[in-house]
Amino acid sequence: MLRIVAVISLGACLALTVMAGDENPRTVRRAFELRIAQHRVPQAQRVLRVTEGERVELRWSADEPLVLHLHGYDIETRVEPGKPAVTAFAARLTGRFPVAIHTEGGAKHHDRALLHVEIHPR
Amino acid sequence: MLPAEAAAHAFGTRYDLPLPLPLWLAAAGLTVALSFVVVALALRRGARSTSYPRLPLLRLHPLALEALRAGSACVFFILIAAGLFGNQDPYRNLVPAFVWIMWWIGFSYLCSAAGDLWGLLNPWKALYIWAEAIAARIRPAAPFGLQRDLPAGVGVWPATALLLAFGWIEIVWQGNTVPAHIARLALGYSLLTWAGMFTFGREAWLRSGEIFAVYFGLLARLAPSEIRMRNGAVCEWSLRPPAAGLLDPRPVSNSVAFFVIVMLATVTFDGARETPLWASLLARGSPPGQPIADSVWSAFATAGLLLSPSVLAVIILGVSALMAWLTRGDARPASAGEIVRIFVPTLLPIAFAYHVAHYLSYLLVAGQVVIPLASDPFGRGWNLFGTAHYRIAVDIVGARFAWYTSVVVIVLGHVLAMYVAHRLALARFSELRTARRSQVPLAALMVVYTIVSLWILAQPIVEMGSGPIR
Repeated sequence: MLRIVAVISLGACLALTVMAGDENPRTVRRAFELRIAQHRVPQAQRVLRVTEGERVELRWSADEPLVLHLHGYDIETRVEPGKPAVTAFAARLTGRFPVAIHTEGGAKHHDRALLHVEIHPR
Repeated sequence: MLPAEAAAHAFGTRYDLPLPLPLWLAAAGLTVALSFVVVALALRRGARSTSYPRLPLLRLHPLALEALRAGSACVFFILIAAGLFGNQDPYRNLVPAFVWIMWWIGFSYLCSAAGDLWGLLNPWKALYIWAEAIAARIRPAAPFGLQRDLPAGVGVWPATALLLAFGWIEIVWQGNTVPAHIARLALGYSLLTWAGMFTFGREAWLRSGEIFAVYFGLLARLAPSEIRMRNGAVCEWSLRPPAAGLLDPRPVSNSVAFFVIVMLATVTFDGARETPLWASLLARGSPPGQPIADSVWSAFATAGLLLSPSVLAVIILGVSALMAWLTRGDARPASAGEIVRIFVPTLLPIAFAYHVAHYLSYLLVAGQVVIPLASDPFGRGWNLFGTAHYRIAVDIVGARFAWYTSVVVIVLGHVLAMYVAHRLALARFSELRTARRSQVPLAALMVVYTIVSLWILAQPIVEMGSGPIR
């Protein structure tokens, strides 16, 4: 039993060390053109996949005034018809972060996600 | 943005990335491979005894125990007051975060690491003990309580029914983050618990009707240390091999077996209801193009909550019947029912490991909300400890940490479950051959259960409020 535990923990430590890797100095820019119509984006854009360390730009246009909130990174962006807006950030946190539409005065925390930004580790 | 608002968005929101396919496959492969290793190493004749060594660490003074209980009772009263009279925004009140994250998740982990801490800290028990002591002062001769006997067949059925109700509140009920709702439920549960203790005796009710005493007590069986009470006053904490509490070869009662099945099923269902598969199932119940209605969601979740223990019970009965059939040639054959009652608790490490894999990063990230809320438990703008403006550090755990801890914990839980089951088989059956045979169906069930857990972790989390709108 003890032997198994030891082997597994050793393996885990090794894997973690190998995966830790070093930083990539070149910054890759990733831009997405996102058109919101009736509180939705096209199916193919519901999950945006980027890699940790990249510079991400979400370029929004919308058919009505909206406040968009990128959770985790905690960035709010206002977008209006004819006035596109950009949510720009450096993808330093890994994870799967929802972008929610915050309606004015609405029940804030029950808002559905417009899309998810998945930031995968390098 | 205000700190409180920043805090608000971390509570209840999870940022876990699904387990990548190669890692999932590697973990599944490792699970199967290690299962064979356990079979080869654990099934030896010498391992028949189920006793284990203990290393005493600490003996708690009775006064220290009273102090701990007083502290726990204080926290209980503060939470009730904050729930009833505090700010009703779930994100500005200590109650939801404390109850759902710190206590229901965090305290479970503490019990499965340190032993049955709930036995020490249970505020309902502590308050009742003090009531008994006061009553004994006032009327020394008169017995406290009605002193009825619980009928023998009752077992832990009351706690099992209450656990299902609690599971419904946790998983299905959408009012479960409203502070006043939680406080009123806690008060109602207090009345029920004290009425039970008063009618049937304190210890009898703690054993059969107090959900959390049964729940945390079962989790404490997994711990690498144990807390033993003597005469309810002297309390000893000692180290022991992990999960030694599961090595008891006496079969549990039918009701305890079903309680465990409910625990296993709700943990798995809780994860499964956040998968895209569940979301697509829900979508079939809603008109196309529309977001999923709350009523549809609740109906499906209630059905899932009730069906999953039943389905799991049928599967376990089937596996046990097969185990009974395979071991019928033993000098001490066992019935399928007895096999269920011996081996069901050995599945706990797998369920618990999945729970840790699923909730650890959530506990570490979202759990931080109690830091600002401790300074302002009622949501009135206080700053008692100077931590009211603490901002949650979302980056303390990354995706890699979550992935690798998940895989390591799940594989360890599986190995532990297999190991304990083998030890119990050796203790129960008189021949090595039949003990070995008995484990084939169980090992298959464990491998499937572990791989299902890993599969859930490999799914992107689809929270109810963020479900896909088709």
